[in-house]
Amino acid sequence: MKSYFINLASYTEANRAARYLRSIKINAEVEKGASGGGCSYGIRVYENPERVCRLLSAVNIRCGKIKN
Amino acid sequence: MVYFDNAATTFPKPHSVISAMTGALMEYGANPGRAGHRMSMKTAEAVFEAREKCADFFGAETENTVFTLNCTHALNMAIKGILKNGDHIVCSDIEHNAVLRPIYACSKEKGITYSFAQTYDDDNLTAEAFERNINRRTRAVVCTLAGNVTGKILPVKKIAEICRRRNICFIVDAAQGAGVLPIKLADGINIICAAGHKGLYGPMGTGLMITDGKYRLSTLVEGGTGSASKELSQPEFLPDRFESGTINTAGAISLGAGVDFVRSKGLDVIYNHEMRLCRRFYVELSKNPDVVLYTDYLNERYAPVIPFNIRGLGSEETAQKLSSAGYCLRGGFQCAYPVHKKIGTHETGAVRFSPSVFSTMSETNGLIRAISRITADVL
Repeated sequence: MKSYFINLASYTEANRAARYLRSIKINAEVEKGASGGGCSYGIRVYENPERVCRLLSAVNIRCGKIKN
Repeated sequence: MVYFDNAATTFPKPHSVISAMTGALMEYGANPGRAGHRMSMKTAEAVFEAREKCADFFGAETENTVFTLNCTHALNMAIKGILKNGDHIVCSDIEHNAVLRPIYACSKEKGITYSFAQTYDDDNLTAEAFERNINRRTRAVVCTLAGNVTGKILPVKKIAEICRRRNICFIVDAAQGAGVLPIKLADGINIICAAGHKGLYGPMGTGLMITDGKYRLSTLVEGGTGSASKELSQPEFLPDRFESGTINTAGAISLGAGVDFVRSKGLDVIYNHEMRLCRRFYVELSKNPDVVLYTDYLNERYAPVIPFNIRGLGSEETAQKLSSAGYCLRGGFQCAYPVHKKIGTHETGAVRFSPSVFSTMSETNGLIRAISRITADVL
């Protein structure tokens, strides 16, 4: 199954995102990653990442870079 | 020993808090929010859950809930973070040094000015006093939710409304009130600072700064946050902006258990229980002509804290005699000298009675008898 890593600002933001997505039945796992700014955290998802980011923006969570 | 110094820190702690602390030390041994390995992630998840509980308790967003060392640390972050050169701040005349000293330091370092709003029995007069002291340079208003010496509850909702109308940042020191009195950001407060180890029944070394995110605060401490590590500048996003360095992980997780404990008991139950003990203490002591009481405790709204003295004895002497009789109470000035000036105990200080949810009527009666024996001996 294809997965995507979505960078988020912090561990706290990643956890908020993962919990929100799970609450609407979307599987998401918190992972450590790296962004242009250095260490960061994000979520791994198995759905269309643009759609996931749209859902997250509705709860004021801003996505960073998306990686395969 | 029977413990009645809960305004300084609550004791004992609930079993759930002790288990959370033990569990945290045994299970969550890795640094949270730093690495990506399983132990670090598990620890970080536990910290997140604790943060979520604390946020929910104060009606805040999870990310705007910052773990601090104590309430003093949170107040320093808020006061020094909001004030810029030349600003003005208003506080009440019953503040703790945790508010007064950061303000004074800012007056020396940043040239800020400050005013004291007098507090009255009438909440409307108190609110008016705050408004009178606001000027065009006023950047923030800070006040206690409940005084740590007298227990006097300030009308924070009325003060919040004034601040909202005048676009001034309103900071509340909830050290004595959190866990006993209802307080939420929705009351119109921009920043709540709370101790974790008092009414929230967490361990010492824990506190919270909770913000609505409206005001950008400068930082007191900068450093590693586990995020944006290539950047030399401190992250703008919370909580990372204010949590540099490894946090007190076990403390934060056990504070979450403390908040659970308070919620499960209910604020009303806790407040009513402690007030029942305070009323008993107040009524019995008011019958003793050798005891001096300073508050009109039965006719006004107070938090469960009562200052008193025994005639002919200094407050520390009384506290020492009570300690010898098996009772833990604090004498002196409780880090709030202006309040002692206000109530006329600036020479002697006062002994402070402060029960917790674990205190009992039988212990309170025992203390009342011990005070009677001391007054009989003094005479």
